[in-house]
Amino acid sequence: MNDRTNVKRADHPKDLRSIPKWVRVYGQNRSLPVLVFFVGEALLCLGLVALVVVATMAYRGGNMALFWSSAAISVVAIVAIECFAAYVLISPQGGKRVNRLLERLYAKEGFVSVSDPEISDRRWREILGVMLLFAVCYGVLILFYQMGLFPTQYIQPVVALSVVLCFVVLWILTRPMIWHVALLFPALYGLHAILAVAGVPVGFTGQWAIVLNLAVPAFGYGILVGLISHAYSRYALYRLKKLTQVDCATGSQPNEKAE
Amino acid sequence: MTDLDRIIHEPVRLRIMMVLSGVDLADFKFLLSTLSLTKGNLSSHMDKLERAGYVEVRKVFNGKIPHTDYGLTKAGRRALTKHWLTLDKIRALDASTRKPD
Repeated sequence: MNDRTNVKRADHPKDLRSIPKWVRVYGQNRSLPVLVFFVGEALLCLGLVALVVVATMAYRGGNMALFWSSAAISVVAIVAIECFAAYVLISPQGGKRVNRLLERLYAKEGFVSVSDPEISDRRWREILGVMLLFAVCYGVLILFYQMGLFPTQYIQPVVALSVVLCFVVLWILTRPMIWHVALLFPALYGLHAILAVAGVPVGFTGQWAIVLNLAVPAFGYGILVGLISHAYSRYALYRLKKLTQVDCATGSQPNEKAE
Repeated sequence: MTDLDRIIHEPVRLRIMMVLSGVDLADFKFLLSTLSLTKGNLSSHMDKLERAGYVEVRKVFNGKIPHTDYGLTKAGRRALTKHWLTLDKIRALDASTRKPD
């Protein structure tokens, strides 16, 4: 068999040359860990809000035993969350354990890395620095709100200033591990803020307005972007498998007509 | 001009090389599920690519479980680029000989 026959039989250059693109798109959009993170955070937030509601109701009803017990559980929960976050972010063992846990989400599909997994220490310090700066900004803005510097309806737009900036910088620092769809989160969060400032009724009012105005856009858009990214990774894997699966006996793809 | 690299030209190995060229690392399980091969078949292809110096292997242990990652070497990337250039030349030659005078 000469080379020309081989070329005609085995390869469809346009299709095969798109394999690296689809494998990359798949790797960059494996967002199940992000979804787990956002859903977990949303549930934690919901649990803490429920505890605060119970504590408030108990205090108003004069049930001090229930008030103190729910307040104590809230404090223990917050301290536990902070300790866990510090363990994951600062300790190398914590990061490895969480990574191993998250890899189990893709246990059937295997591991694929779009950039070198050994990101330099300097880059990790930069990422950690941005996250700490974001946490400080977030705390200062909430403090300003409690000092009455701006009304409840502007809490999300003001926080959006730091959220948008932080996520754009994090995306730049973590490129090319994460696909462009990650930018959809700050875009949607920013758009929500613009609509709120423009007077469109996208916010919440009432007793829990501050919690709802902060939590609903953050977790809502986070989960939405995670789902979009996950769906795109499934599509990329489907395209990839159609391109890569060959009939070993003939050397042709399953849908390829024999010549 | 028609000096095709036989290591890469085999359809399964070409696809393995193309998959690896899109990422930095992929593990044995990912290649197995993506290419729908048997373990023995994939191992045999990976051995050939490794012996040719086109693929590097990283073996680590996650606890007690062995984990094998593969990545293309610089020589592998160069060989893949050269392979596609050669294929393009063959196709161009084929198209030109088919043109009616």
